[in-house]
Amino acid sequence: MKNDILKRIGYKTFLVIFCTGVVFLFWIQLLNQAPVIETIAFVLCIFIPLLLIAVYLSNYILPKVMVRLKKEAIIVFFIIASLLMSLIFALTVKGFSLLEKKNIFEPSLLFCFTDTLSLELLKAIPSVIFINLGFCGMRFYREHLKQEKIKHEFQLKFLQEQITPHFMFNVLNHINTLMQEDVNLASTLLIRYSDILRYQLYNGRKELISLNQEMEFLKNFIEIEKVRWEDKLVVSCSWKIDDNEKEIPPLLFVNLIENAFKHVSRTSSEKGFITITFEQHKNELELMVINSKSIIHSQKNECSGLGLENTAERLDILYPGKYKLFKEETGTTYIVKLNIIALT
Amino acid sequence: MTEIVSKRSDIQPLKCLIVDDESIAVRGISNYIKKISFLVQEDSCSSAAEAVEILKRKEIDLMFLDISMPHMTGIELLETLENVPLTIIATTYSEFAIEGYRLNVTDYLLKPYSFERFSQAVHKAREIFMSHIILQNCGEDYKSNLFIRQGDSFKRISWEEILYAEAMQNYLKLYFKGKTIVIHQKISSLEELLPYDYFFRIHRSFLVNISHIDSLSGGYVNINGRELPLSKQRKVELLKSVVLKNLISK
Repeated sequence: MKNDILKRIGYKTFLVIFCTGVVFLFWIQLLNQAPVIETIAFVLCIFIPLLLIAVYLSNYILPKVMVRLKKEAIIVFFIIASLLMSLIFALTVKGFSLLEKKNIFEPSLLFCFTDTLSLELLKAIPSVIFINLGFCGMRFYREHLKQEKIKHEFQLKFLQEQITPHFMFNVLNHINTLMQEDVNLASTLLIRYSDILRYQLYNGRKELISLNQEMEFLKNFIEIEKVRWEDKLVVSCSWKIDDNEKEIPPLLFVNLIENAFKHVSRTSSEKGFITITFEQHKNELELMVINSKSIIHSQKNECSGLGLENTAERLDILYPGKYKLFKEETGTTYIVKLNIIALT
Repeated sequence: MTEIVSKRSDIQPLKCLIVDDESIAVRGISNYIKKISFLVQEDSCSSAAEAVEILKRKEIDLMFLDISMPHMTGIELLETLENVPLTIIATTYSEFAIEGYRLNVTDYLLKPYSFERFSQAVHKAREIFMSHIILQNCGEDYKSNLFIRQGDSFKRISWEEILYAEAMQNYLKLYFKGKTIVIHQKISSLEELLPYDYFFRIHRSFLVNISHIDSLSGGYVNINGRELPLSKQRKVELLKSVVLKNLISK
C-alpha cells in the first residue's frame, strides 16, 4: 500500500513534500517566539543544509553502499553526516543569537539562554540522528523492496529456464523408440528421467540442497546424454567430494554441463569428447567442463554465451564477490571453469 | 483416353533420407519406415552438411528432417537447398511450424509421435508424390477435361479456376480461389497441358491464368491479392501477345 503511493507520486516528489512539511511544522512552532522574518531566516538556514545532507546521504551514498554490501562504510558515512549536520545546527543557533545580541534582529524568546557551542552541539545530535535515521530508513526500505522484486523475477526466470523442454521431448522420443528395440534400455532411461524430473519439480524449488543429491542429479543427466549420443561422444567425469552433506543451491551447475553437450562436436565423422571434473574441499568448490569444438567453422555465432550469462546472473545473487566464472576458447576446445570460494 | 504425363509405377517405393543428429531418433524413423510398404530407406546422416552431399549424389524422394542440429539447422538446410525433395520435419520444437509451412514442407511431426501419426504424414507425402495432372482428351472438347490424380483417386478440375501455379523444384503448387493443391509435376509439363492462349509463363517459377490477372504494374503481376514477379524478357511478350491481342479482340 505504502509502495503504491510512492509509485504514484514518485519518490522524489514525495521527498520534497515531506521536507516542506517538516520545515513548515517547525516554523509554526517558532512563530509566536520571534518576529516572522527572523523565524523564516532561521528555519531556512538550519533546514536547507540539513535536509540536503540527509537527502544526499540517503539517496546517493546509501544505495551505492548497499550494492557493495559494506556494512561498516554506511555507519562511518552516517556518523560523519550526523556530526556535520549537528555542527551546522549549533553554528546557526549560535550565529542567530549573536545577531540578536548585536541588535540586527530584535531580541526574542528563541535564544534567551546562551549555551556554549559544545552544549548546543550535544543538544542537536539526537534530533539530527533522528532525521538521518528517518531518511535512510525510508530509502533502505525502498531499495530493499526493489532488490526483493529483482530476486523474485529472477527466481521465476530461473525456474522457467531449467533444462529445456527440447531435452525432455527428445528423451521421451528415445524412450518411445527404444521400447520397440531395447526394452531394458528404455526402462533405464525412463527411470533416470523420472529422477531428473522429480529433482527439478521438488528439489529445484528449495533454497538449498545437499551436494550429494545435486551430484546424483547431474550424474543422471550425464548418463541420459551419453545414451543420446552413443558412440559419437566420449564422456569422462571425476567427482571428488569431501562432504556429501554440504549444502548448495540446486541446479546451479546443470546449465554449464548442458551447454557442453549442446555445443560439443558430435557428428559421425568428428567424434567429440567432454571432460567434467568436480571438486569440493571444505568451503571451496571447483567445476571444470571441457568440450571439443567442431573444426568446421560455424557461420553464425552460436548463442553459447546465453546459458553462461544466466548462470553468472544467478551466482551474483547467491555468491556476490565470492565466485569466479571463467571461459576459454581454443581452436579445438571450449573450457568453462567455475570456482566458488565461500560456500556457506 | 490418353495420358500425356508419363505414369509413374505404383510399385516403386519412395526413397527416404533421414537427417537427425541423434542416432536413436534416426533408428526410430528407420523402424517406422520398415513397416510402411511404399517407403524404403536410402540413407541417413547426422548433419545438414552431410545431407547436402547425399542429396547431390543420390536420388531422394522423401526427406525426414530434424531442426536442431549443430552448425546448420534443418530450416537453414531447406533454405539453402536448390532441389528440395518432399520433406517431413520431425522435431521437438513446435515454434518452427510456420517456418515449415513457408518452406512448403509436407508435414510437421512433433517428437515423440505415434506410428499412426507417422503413417498419416507419409501417406500425405505419397499422395503428393503420386499426384499429377492428367489430361483426358475427348476429341472436340479440346483440353477441357483435366484430372488431378491423388493416389488412387482422380479429381476433376477445370482449368478456368486455376489462378496461377508456383514452381517448387520438382513440385508445384496450384492456386485456386480459397485453396491450394501441391502436385508432383514440373511447371514446364503443366504448361504443355494447359491451353496456350490462356496461360502465360511470367517467370521461371510462375505460370498464370491471364483471365485472372487483376493488374500489371512495374515488374509485377497482381492476381488475387498477391504480387507475382514478372521477368524482364517476358514482359514485352506478355504485353504484346496477350494484353494487346485481348484488347483488340474486344
